[in-house]
Amino acid sequence: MVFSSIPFLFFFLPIVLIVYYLAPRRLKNAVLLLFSLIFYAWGEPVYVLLMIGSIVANFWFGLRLDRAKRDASSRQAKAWLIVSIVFNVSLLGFFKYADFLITNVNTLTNSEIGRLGLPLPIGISFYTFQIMSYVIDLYRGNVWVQTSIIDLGAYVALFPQLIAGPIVRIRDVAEALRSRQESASDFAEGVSRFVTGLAKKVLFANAIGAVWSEIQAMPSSSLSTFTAWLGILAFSFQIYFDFSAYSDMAIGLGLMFGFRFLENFNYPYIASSITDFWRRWHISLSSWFREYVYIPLGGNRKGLGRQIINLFIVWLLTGLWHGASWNFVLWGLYFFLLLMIEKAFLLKWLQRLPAFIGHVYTLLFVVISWVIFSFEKMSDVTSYLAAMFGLNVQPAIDNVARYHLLSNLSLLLMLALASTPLPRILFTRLQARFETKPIADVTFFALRLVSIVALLVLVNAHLVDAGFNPFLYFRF
Amino acid sequence: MDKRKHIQHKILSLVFVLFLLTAIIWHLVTPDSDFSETEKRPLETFTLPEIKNLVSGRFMTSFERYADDQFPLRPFFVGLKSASEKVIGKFDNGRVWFGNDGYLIEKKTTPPDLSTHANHLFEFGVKLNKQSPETKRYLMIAPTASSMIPDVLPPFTPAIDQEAILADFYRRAGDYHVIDLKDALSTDEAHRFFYRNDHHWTTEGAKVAYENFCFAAGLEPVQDLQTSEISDRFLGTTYAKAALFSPRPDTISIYRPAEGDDPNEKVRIIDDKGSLLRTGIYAWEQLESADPYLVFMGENAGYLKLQTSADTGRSLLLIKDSYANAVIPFLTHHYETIHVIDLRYFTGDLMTLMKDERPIQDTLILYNFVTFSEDKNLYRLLR
Repeated sequence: MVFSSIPFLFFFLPIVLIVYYLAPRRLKNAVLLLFSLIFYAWGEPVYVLLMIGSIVANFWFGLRLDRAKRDASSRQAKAWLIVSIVFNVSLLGFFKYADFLITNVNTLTNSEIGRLGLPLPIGISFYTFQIMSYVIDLYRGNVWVQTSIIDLGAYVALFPQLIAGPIVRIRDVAEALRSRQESASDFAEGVSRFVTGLAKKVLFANAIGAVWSEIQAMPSSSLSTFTAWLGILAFSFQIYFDFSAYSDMAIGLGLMFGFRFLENFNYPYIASSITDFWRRWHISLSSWFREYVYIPLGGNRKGLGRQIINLFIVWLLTGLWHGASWNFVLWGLYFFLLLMIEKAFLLKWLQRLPAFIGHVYTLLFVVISWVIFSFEKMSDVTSYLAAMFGLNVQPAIDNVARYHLLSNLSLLLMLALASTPLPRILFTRLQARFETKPIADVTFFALRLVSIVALLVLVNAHLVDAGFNPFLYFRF
Repeated sequence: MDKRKHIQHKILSLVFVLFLLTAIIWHLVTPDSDFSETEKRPLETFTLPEIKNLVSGRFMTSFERYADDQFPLRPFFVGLKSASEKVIGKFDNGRVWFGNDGYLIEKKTTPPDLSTHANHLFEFGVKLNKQSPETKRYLMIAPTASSMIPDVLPPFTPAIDQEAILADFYRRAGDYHVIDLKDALSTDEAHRFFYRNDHHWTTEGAKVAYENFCFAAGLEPVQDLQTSEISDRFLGTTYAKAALFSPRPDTISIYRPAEGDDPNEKVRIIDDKGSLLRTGIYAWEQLESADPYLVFMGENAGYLKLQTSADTGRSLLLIKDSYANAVIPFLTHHYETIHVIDLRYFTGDLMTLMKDERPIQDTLILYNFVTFSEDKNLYRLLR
């Protein structure tokens, strides 16, 4: 089930909210777990068993690990940690990467091993990483053992962040899992945040995504330079507003249930360097890799050579995490390379240059990275890049480009504005200014209320329209 | 101040939950409808889950469609979406271009490949020529509004170059008398050849096609016809797709003899089983339906035989889509029998039919560019 759908908004969400708030305190986690399982089973009626199995297994690993630690047997504790990591990585590897591996082995050795053809279980990359954070943090002594499988299950399967993150580390929510206090102010903040995310997804990401689908569907050899740039710009907006909208909705839903998740995006497109970009984009993933891969490997403490290798591994894995395909590997390594260059000298140079150069440079390379990201076939990547750099014998600009630019001009401007913190700054300032004046404050609140309802209505209109197909069968 | 904040938080939370609840309750108390007139399709209704459907996920898919299809005030929301796109200056809503002067034009941007179509027609021509060399073969693929009246399209619209594609297609389609309408339909007064709210041509457009056909077939167009309006609130397919709130309806007209009875009212329409479907070419009741264009010829059918009062002894085999429906009332003045074939529904054997119905002096293949390029049934010509 996706958040931006009528079944979720008007059936699942109101029901889970009502049941959750009616349930007594000691059953609240059970309610969340139950509904999260329903939520997951809705899209994955079979793979839900896989997730449950993974929760049960790791719950048990956790108990054993904890007992070993209590018995002061660090060897045993380490053994259980390794068992758990091997278990989780194998599960992810099997369901996500087996076919990728088979295809490559086949190509390399000319063999014909049959592909498994298993569909990817939704969210497996997210929940596996969350589970691993539990076992590793437990081993490190950062969190207590979870003695309630319901609490652990609720943490892993929690529907707000189950499908598209953010990757919540257990130590950030361990306290809330045991005892949390929902409040009207959190709930209201959650509503604002959720509706903002919903609007970003439906009104922004989907709308600009339609432009990208249209341009992407055209053969790259026929794209004018401008069209190619417009297309990938549209995709850049789409992926940011889509992904960050999911995080917004997750954070908002979390607040409604009394959880506080960490921010996952921080206006990445205003970054001043690629290094800065990765501090602002999908923060929970970068932190996860830093904490559970980069630092355990030695980080920067074992000399420059080792640090480069460590970073290489992290970016290789980051690329692969995004999908079992070579273009994602290339995408990860592309960033590895850029980050290396920045570390070597570029960051220092950028600091001396006017700020806008850094911003332009960053955006340029991020936008180009999305070309690698969005085409799985290498030949598609190169031909699209060729179109962007005018190497495909097409005019610099044509009517396709002019049409899409004019037709989406106001949308593009809104997206550009919404990619910056300006709207948020404006909102916070206005709110702070009005707070002390009762009438102004109430008016401001009324306006906010009206805009939230208006956004909901508008989002709903777009959702209803998606299922509207007039005269679909008319011609057949 | 804290108290005020607290109340505000409560109100905000409550409004949100109430919004969700209103929709669900509204949804549940309004009776479900089985069929959508605007969409011409059955709507999903609620079915109880079974274990089998739950495991396969079919129940979930069905429920999602049900929740979408039966959502309260669906037309309003669809209209709101379109309106919001128009307000922010979008030139289309994904289905329809918002043209100037109220024109709503089907959005098509991918140039079709007509090579298979050309092959089918080529083979059909050869086959027909072998079986009945005396039958003349006419081919008319009408360009549509996006190509004929491009001035109504939004700026820089990358519409398909229908004329170029057609020119190439005609070269490869074989031995036909091609009736190319591109000049006749793109004159200064071409606006009145196309509806604002429908993808069809108007009766004026159909008349132009008819006159061009007459010219090619050596017939004398009927002169003493005069136009009369039969509907002034026609909102057709592109209107339904545009879903805008402020309609600018079209009028539907038909041509009748200036004096005396309309022979079209006496045309006998016979279905594929040989029984009389109705007398009179116009299906008047369709004027009130969701698709009033159906007033011409009524519901689509694979095969219809028209027996007219034109005492000419000539018969015509018409292989067509709905564009032809507005042309037929003109053709009835010249042919005593018209065999109307709609390949989408036609399941018979064309060659046998032609043998049985001999002599057939003329065949006319008449489609519009869009339906023709999307048609996947031309192979039926060769059965």
